[in-house]
Amino acid sequence: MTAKRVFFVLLALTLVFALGMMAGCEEPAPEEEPEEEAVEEEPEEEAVEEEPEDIEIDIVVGFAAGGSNDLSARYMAEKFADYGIQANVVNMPGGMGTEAAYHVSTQSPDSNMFMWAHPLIMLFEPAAGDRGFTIHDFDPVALLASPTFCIGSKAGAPWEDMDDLVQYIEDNPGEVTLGGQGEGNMMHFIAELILDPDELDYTYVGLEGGADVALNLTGGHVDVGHLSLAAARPLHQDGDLTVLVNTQILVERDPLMPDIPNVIEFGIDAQEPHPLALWGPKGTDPALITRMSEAMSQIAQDPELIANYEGAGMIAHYLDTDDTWDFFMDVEENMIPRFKEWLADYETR
Amino acid sequence: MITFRVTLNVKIGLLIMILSAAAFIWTYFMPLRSMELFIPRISLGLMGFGGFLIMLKDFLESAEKIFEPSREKILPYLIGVPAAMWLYGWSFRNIGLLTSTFLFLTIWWVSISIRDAKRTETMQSVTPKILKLAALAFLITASVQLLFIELLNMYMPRTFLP
Amino acid sequence: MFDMDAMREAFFIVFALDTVIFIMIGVVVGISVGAIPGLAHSLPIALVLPFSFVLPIHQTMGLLLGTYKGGTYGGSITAISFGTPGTSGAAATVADGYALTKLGKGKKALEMGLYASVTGDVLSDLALIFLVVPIGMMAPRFGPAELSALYFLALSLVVVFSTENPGKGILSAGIGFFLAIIGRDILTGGLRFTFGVRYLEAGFPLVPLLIGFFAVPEIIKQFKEIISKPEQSGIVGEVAERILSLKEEGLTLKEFIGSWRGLGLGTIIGTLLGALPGPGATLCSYTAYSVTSQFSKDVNYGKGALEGVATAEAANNATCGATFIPLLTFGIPGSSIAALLMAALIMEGVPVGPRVVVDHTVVVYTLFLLLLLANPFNLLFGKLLIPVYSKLTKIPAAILWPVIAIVLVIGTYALNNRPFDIVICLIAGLIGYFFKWFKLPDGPLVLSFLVTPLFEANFRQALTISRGDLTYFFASGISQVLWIVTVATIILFVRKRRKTEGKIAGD
Repeated sequence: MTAKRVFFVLLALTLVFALGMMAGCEEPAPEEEPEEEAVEEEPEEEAVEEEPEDIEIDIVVGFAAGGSNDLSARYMAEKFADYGIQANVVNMPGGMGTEAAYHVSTQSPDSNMFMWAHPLIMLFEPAAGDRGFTIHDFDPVALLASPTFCIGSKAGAPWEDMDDLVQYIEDNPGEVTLGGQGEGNMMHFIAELILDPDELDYTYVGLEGGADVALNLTGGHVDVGHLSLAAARPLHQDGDLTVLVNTQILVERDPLMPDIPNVIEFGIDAQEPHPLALWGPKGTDPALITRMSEAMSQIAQDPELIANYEGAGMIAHYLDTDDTWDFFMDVEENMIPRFKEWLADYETR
Repeated sequence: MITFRVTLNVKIGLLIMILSAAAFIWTYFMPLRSMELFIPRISLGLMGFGGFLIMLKDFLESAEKIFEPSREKILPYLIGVPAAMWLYGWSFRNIGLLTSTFLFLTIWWVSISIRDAKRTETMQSVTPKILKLAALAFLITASVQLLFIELLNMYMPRTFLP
Repeated sequence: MFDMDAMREAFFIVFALDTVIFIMIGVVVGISVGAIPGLAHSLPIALVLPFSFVLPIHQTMGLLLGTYKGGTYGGSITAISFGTPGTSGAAATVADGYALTKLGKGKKALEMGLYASVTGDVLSDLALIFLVVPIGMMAPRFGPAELSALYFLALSLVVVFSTENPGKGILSAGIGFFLAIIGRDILTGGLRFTFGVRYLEAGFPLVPLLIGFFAVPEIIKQFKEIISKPEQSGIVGEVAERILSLKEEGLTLKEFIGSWRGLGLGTIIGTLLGALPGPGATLCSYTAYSVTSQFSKDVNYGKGALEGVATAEAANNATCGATFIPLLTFGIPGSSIAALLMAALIMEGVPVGPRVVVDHTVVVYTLFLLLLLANPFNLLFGKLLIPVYSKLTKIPAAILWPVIAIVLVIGTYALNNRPFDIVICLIAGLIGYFFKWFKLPDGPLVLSFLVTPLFEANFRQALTISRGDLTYFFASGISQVLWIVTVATIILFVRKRRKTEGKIAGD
């Protein structure tokens, strides 16, 4: 009797799963579509078909699905398929992306697992404390995305640009509050490079993230905020806040908002090293790296990807394997010592 | 009239009080800012205070019912069940999802049915029962694979068995 | 304000066969899989993101909202049937729901869960549609000072849970506070109480903690029964069967209406709290559950009352609509699911921000209609699946519980692909067992665990902004009202408690 019941229940469960499977089975079918589109759009890429064989890789993202970090990886993964590289995006959130980086650094070089990471994860976090890995545990593949960050002020603020703001703080010491993303991290360090607390008397408050900064700026709880351009742009257009400068490091003007000046134009050397690159565990096959890097150089030209990145507040910008390494090494040499010094000072505050 | 009683509540309350007081003092030797320790100190204070109240209540109120926890032998299960679950978690990541799911379920059911068969002295009919359960284990393993791997695309380390 | 043409267009988009099919798939998958511990949160992500590249936006949204709503309801099914919440939002349902199942009223409880979920959901969707502008405009006015006051109010509800035995309530709250602060400091990144364990730096994640806390003790208990009482283990199922075969009664209209307090409070609290970024379904259902406990006339509240199920389920599903309010008014995602929808919209080229209602009216109306349309499907498939689930409870324990244990382990891992989450889940289970054994109330732990990070961050931010000036906390009208309500609540609850104590003493 009982066995019969069990059987029925399991039958029901199997049916439910089968229904779910129907949804799952549709997955491979639509995947073919973009390939067709790609062929239509880019017939010049026939050379790609000569590639040896299809390969499957994992791209590890250190943040939850849906954020700009994750989106940029997914857009890239989608395009990788055109080059015979099937890329799965794996989200491993935790510890500002360092848990994921630690995981990838412990993988064997032939695991085909890659980390999607910016200098915050690769350089600044390991400099702030032992995270179990350093950048030297990885081999670079290439750099592809650079999110733009910006400084915005609340609606109706009595200043119009950076110079005004600095002047205002000098005239009204202790009145201005700057909301940033957390304390004692790279974003805080950059914010204090832009507005030096030793010379200017203002209050820095660490908020929880970009959305939190946007909300506090909109509500007027902080006067100035440090957030991503993607989050700030719609609010800027609606008049809920005003974007003062961007801090993009790779290009001066962000094509998304070309009228917003770069922080360097005000003589402030505090461009934010935020570009995202792909990293394999140390010892990854150089042939694979070259193949992926070449694919990425093509992907960076793809108009659809450029538009997608723009929509998510990022610039599609390709640096090859050597240039990527040089870019990160430049940050390590020039910024990390200053960051460490600043951190030591911050910790005794 | 006050009668002092040393019940289990008193003992546990006292233990919690001592532990949280020790941790509270320890916070003063931590390399953290006072802002970062604000809530931790409140929490340890609350735990200590809670332990104190629990102790006090039993100590003073003789009218209160004495707390009688179940005296059943639970410790082996308290260690064994989580250990088995952890072992399963380890094995599906390192040996293989299909293999370990099937083995864990089958081994468990086989041992249970043999035990039951011995108890009810129905050893002769145990084989078909075990086969049925193995089929069930196979079905469940298959659904787990369909659900987590095929449908949800769960990330799996590459293992040497499926 | 209201654009009839856009509404007509949206109507034709939504009531087309393809959209309806996608909602349906979403709801069915959501309910059946959302009932599996840990999956309701990871499922929509895994299922929807790969599709959003290829499907048009209305189909993607249908799938997303269907799985989201189905999953939010589905979590209550296992909470009621096995005392194992499928989502952290259903944790508040366990107390009354599982007690009802043990009393042989599982079907009633499951039906109440379904009807309450759908009621709360529909009302919250309507609130979203009609109140999106006024409620949305309120959200940015909650700065660190106002939020500190609000979360202090939520913390004061701990008092409600603690009136029975203040010592145990306070101890439970203290443990909740402590678990919440383990890991990396949310603002400064300093490591607190990680004892050198790298994995603890990310803290105790909510879902593994809550699911472990409630489910693992039950699993331990069941395994103990199976092993230590072999003569009963085969019969456990049959006992349950006998109870269940007594032509189990469904929910009557009278019982449903009789829980109007719980339904109403749950919906209101779920909608209002759900509109703020941060709290989430779990906090909403716990808050509603504790507030209702003060107003419920049911003497069994907390030990198997339908009203307890009603309020918790109405509240967690009421967040489904409300969570999109800050997204549509400011383009600020208030929850992970709102962030996901935002990502899907961005992928489709719809920039989400304050002007989205004006610039992309059709998309927004489509979202509204999809939200409403998902509810009847939720009701229909929920109703169809209830008999299946109440049959599941008849399976002998020796067969059922190993499967639950296995699925719990994989589900916990699948959530973030993090092996250590399994360890956290098991540690939480041992803490949960201690709570059961020592008869500590679980409400204070859950509430303080959820609210502490929110309160701490806002409190410290407010202190930084005001440079240590405490009057900042009382500066705005909103905070003044909130502080007055807090004080009034505490006084009210304490006085009510005194009265009932007096009554008991008088008897």
